[in-house]
Amino acid sequence: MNPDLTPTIWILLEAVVKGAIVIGALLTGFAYSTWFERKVIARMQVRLGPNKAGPAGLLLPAADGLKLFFKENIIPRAVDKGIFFLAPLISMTVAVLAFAVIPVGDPTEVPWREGLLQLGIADFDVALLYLLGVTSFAVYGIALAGWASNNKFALIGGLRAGAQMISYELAMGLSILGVVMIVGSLSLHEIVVWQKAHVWLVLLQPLGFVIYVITAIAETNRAPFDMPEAEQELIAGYHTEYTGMRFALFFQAEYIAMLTVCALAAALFLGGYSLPGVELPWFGDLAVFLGKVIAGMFVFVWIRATMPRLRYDQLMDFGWKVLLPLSIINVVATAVGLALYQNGVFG
Amino acid sequence: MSQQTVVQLVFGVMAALSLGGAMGVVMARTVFVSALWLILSFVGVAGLYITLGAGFLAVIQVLVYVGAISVLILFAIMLTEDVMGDEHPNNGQVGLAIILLTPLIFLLGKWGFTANWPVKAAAILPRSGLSVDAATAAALPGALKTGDAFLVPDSVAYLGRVLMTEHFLAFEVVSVVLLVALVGAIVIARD
Amino acid sequence: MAMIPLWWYLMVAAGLFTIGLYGALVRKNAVSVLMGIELMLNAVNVNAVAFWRYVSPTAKAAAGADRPVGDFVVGMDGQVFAVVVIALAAAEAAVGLAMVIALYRSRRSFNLPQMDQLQG
Repeated sequence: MNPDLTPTIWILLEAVVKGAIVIGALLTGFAYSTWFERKVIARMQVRLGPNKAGPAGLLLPAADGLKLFFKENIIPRAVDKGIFFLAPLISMTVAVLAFAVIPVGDPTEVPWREGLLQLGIADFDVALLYLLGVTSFAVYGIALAGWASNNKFALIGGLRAGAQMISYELAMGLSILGVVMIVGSLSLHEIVVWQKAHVWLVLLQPLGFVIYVITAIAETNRAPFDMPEAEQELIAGYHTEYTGMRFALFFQAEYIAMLTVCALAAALFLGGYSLPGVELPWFGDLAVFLGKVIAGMFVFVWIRATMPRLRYDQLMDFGWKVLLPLSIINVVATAVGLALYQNGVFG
Repeated sequence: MSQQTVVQLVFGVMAALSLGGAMGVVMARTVFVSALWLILSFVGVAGLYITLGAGFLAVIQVLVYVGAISVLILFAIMLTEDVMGDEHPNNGQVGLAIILLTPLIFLLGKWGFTANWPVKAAAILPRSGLSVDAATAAALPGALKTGDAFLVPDSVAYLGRVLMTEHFLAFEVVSVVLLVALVGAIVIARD
Repeated sequence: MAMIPLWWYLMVAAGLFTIGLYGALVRKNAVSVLMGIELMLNAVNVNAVAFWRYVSPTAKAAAGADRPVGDFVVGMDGQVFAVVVIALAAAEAAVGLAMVIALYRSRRSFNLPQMDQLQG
C-alpha cells in the first residue's frame, strides 16, 4: 500500500461513515416525520392522534414499516415492468443524494487525524447548483412512475407533478439567486459562515424567502399544492398502482425531500446551524440545525392542516404569472441594492 | 491500487455510460425508451466533465440537459406519441449511414490518436494557490517562471467574470437567442 | 504525467458524435432525430472541455492593475464554449419540440417521411 495514499483512504472512510450516518438519520427522520405530522394535525383538529403503539404512539413508525414490508407487492399486468421498478428507486436515490451538501455544523477537530472534519458529507464550490441539479432528477421518478403504471389517473398525476416541479423550479432557483449574489459563493457552508459573520439572510431577502417557501412546498408536492395526488380527482396520482415497499419508497422520498428543503431553507436564509452571537460546540450546532429543521417541518404540517387545495390551473398561473416575475424583480432589486451598497451609497 | 487507476476507472465508467447510453438512444425500439437512454448518456458526459476538472460544467450539464431538455423531450413524447413502439423506427438509410459513418469514425479516431496535440506538461491544471513547477515553466518558455503564482480563483466566479468581460458578446448573443427561442417556441406551439 | 491521456477523451467524443449522427440520419421519428443532434452537441462539448484542460491557451500573461506581475490566469475559452453550446442546445430543443408538436397537430404523427407537404 502506497504510504501517501493513507490520507486519501481516511477521507474516503470518513465519507462512507458520514454517508451511512446521514442515510440512517434521514430514514429515522422520515419515520418520525410521519408520526410528527399525524400528532400535530391531530392536535390542530382537537384529536389525540396516534397513541396506541408505544408511549405517545412513538412506536407507530416501526409498526407502519413492518406492515408495509409484509404487504403484497402487486405488479399490475399492463405496466412497463422495468420502468415501473426503476421509478421509486430514482425517487428515493435522488432524495437522499440531495442531502449530501447540507452543512450541519462548523468543521471540528477530530482525534484520529490532523485537520478539521467537515460536518456534512461534502462541500464544494458549486454545492448549491449540485443540489438544484440533483433535485431536478426527482421529476423522473414521478413522471416515469405515472407513465409506467399504464393507468390514466397515474399518468395525469405524473404529468401534473412534472409540469408543476419544472414550473416552480425556475422561481425557486431565482429566489435563491439573491442569496448567492449577496454572499458571492455557491458553497452552502460559506453561505452559513457569511450569515454567522453578518446577519441572517432572511432579513436581507424577505421576498426571496417567501418565494422560496412557497416553491419548496410546490416542489415537494405537499398541500396546498398536492394536485399530483389529489384524492378526489386522481385516486392517488402517480403512485396509484404502487403497493408495499415500492409505495413506501415514494412515501420516504417525499418526506426526505421535505427534510431537505427545510434544511436548505435553514442554511440559505436562517443562519444554518448557527445562532446569532453565540459560538457553539459541534453538538450545539447540530442541535440548532435539528431545531430549525423541525420548525420547518412544523410549518409544512401547519400549512397542510390550514389551507385547502388549489385548482391546477390556479397553481400553474400562480407559478408563472406571480412567482416567476416576483423572483425576477427580487434578483434585479438585489443587484441594484448590491451595486449601490458597494459604491457606498448607504454610507 | 494507485490514484491513477482509480481515476482511470472512473473515466471508464463514465465513458461507458455516455457511449452505452448513446447506443441505447439509436437502438431502442420506442422513442420513450430512447429518451431514457439519452438521460443516461447525458449523465455520463457530466461525469466526464468531472474527471476533466470542470465541476461547474458538470452541474450545468445535469441541470440543463437532464433537468430541462430531457424532461421537455419526455413530455413531448408522453403528450403526443401513442405508447406502442413503431415496428420500423428507422428509415431506409441504415446501410447508407453505416457506409458513410465507418470512415468517419475511423478518421476521427486516427486523428485523435495520432495527431500531435501540444499537451501541456502539467496536464493537471494547478488549483488556486499553487505555484508553477519547474516542468510547467519549461513547457512554456518565456511565459512562466518557476514559482509564479497561478490564478485560478474560484472557478465559477472566474468563469462568470470571463463571460462578462472577454466573452461578453457571445454572452449577450446567447441571451438574445434564448429570448427569441422562448418567444418562437410559444408562437409555434400555440394553437 | 497526465492521469488520463487526452486521446481517450477524443475517442469517446468521436464515438458519441458518430452515434449521434447515425441516429440523426436513420431515424424516422423527428424527436429521435433531435436526440441524435443533442448527442452530437455533447460530443463537441466533450472535445471542447478536454482541449481546454489539456491544450488550451492556458497561460495568458496576466495584465491588469489588480494582479501582481508574474501571476498567470488559466484561460477559460473551452468552458465558455461549452456553456454557450449548452445554452444554444436548450434553445434548439425548445424550438425543435415546439415545431414537432405543431406538426403533430396537423399530421397526427412524428414521422419525418410523412412530412412531405411541399410535394403537394
